[in-house]
Amino acid sequence: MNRIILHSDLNNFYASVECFYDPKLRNCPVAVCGSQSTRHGIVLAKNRIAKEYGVKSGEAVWEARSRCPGLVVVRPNYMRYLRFSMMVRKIYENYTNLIEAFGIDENWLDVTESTMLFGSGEKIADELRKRIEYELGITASVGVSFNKIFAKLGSDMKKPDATTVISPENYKEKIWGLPAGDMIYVGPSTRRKLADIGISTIGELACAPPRFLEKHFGQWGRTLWMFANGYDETPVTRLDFQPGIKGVGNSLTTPRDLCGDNDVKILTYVLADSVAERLRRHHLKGRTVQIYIRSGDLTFIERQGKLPYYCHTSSEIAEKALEIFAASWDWSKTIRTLGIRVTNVVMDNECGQLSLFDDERRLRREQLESSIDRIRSRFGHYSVQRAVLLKGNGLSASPVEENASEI
Amino acid sequence: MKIICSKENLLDGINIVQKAVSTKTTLPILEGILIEADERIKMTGNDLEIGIECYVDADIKRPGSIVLNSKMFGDIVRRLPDSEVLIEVKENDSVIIECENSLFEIKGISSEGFPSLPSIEKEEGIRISKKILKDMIKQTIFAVSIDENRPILTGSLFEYKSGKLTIVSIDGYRLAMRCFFSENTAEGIDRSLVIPGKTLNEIAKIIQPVDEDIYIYAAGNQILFDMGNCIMTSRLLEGEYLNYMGIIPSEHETKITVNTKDLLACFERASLVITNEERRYPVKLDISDDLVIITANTEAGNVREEIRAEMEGKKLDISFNHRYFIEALRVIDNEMVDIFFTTNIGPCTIKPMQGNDFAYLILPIRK
Repeated sequence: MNRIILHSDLNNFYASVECFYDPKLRNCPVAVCGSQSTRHGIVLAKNRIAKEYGVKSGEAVWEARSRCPGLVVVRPNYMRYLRFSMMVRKIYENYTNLIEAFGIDENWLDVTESTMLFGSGEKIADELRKRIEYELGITASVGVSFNKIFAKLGSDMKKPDATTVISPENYKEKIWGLPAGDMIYVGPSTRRKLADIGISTIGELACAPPRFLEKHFGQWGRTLWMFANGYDETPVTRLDFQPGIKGVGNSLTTPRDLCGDNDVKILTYVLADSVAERLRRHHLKGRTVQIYIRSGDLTFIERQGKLPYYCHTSSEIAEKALEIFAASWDWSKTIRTLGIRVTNVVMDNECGQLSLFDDERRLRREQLESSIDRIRSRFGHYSVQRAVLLKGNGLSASPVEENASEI
Repeated sequence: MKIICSKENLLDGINIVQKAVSTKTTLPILEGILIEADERIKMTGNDLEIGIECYVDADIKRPGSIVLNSKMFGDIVRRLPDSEVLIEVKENDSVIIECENSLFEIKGISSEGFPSLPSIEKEEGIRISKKILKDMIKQTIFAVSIDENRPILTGSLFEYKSGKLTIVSIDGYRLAMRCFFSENTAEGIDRSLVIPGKTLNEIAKIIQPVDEDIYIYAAGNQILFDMGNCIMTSRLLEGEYLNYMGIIPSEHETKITVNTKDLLACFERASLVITNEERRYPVKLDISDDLVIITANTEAGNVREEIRAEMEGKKLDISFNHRYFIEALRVIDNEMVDIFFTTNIGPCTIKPMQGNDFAYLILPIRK
């Protein structure tokens, strides 16, 4: 039996939410952009009016302004978006428990078993859209199909506020004509490679011999072929299923370029603090520390090193990161973005194996940092700070606190 | 050089010296075996960490020397029929290998550039039975650390003191110690050396479990094992080894006496549900009233084992990595052992009921 999968995409999500909070904006071109002064100044989302002017997500604020002189630029407000995302999810939960988030504003819903109660997929999709608009004041595009890939394609086909049904009967005429690049997982590089072998539409991909694709793309070639033919069978993962976390990382583009070891030291501690806190929140410990350095000219390097034991304390992560940094950066260029990631993680209750070299100080550091977590959860992130960050020169803002970008 | 040698003898020699030939090197000559013919043939492998020389009886028609790629030479000889093999060096270091109806001509390398083994004076050595040394290595090698953060622990301590040889391995989570004392089978001056784990592995493979003696000499940072027709040299690890006596607790809160094989079988069965080595599931020991209850719970299933034990002291609830117990119990020949526990976060030590021939210390898993 065919599954019935919905893909729901909230239209112009950030901009819609901002317009909801400030109805005056509704009839102006609006773009939600990062702060230019901290050099995050790109367009994150825009409303329909701004879109008509040709404003694109991802372009710099000045580019957008030159296309659309009257553009109203709004700073993002992640807590609002998270709240809305949760509320939308609550609506979905009325229809199924099989909900898989794809970013903050997109979700797959498997409603196969719910059709007995709520009617056909199309009917559920229409009802969802109506409820989201009525209850939350924003709109959604919903694709209805028999697999996740086609459902996602469907939600992209008609915007805003529309339902598109792609059925086993009509999928050939509906989507085979679309460019291959529209299909999820076909990025710019895959698209180029497909073009090189004369494939430009989804239909051409579907009709290509899978062996031929395999020769060019390996296993992935066959997978793409299956996607294009609607043979995708990946399940919509249940909402209470948490995929195993492979690592925890944070990176930050700073308001000004980093130009000395002291700047790096401050930022390293900021990032390590955030990474360590998140490791502890997920009850993880990691053993490999990776650093990511992007210089002023936007080239980047990544280096990694191994800790002698699994850990989740910021001091140890920061010390290791600084050690790796010292060995891999010669300061021939200034630094624009710095990142720290801890991988090779295990659950922290699994590394209870005692060692002859366990020292008391390590245990005390762990206790200290979890006490700090508790203080911060009551009194706010900045209630306790490392002394080194007090002279932060504008570098010591926590990446998570400032953006709440983690979902 | 021109020699005739039986395939069997030749292969025995190759198998031994190949253990010291590097597989990954920038120097092609180190991937070779040096063959020198005088009265017998001497084969040498040397990866600059470990060196092995092995003598093989042969009919020497013309003395000389050559270096042959170890893999190529070994693979050829291994596949030759069981008969006499003729090896002859021609001009330009090309080498003929002939045996019955097979004839190879392969490229050799001039022996001039082959690094010689470090010279170690055969003075003030330690003499010990091959069988005992092999056993002692096997009984301790598994606890050698593989963590490069503490290089000294990637080797075993080799301590010789007034007729008593002690080998100790420690990897940070456990310790394995074996002693051997006998004036008849071992003699020499007092020494304390740290031998790389790799060296011990290879020497344990080479020596036969027979009642012959092996002589051990050391000078500077090098060690030499003399096995009669074969010698092996190796670099030693430099630095101070841990004070192992200080690690083994002298007091205990709980003591049990159990049958070694039965306990091993319990652990081996308990380990069957621990299918995922990545996630370190503990095996729990619940010790009370002359009974040890061993349990393991994993996502794959649960297991519960009971074993009778003579018990002294307090009740105890403690968890371990099953592998550490299994590896220690497997190499203990004694029928019964004593196990001493301190607390459930302190080390436990497996010892013989009498004497001090061995001690296996294992740290628990904190709950």
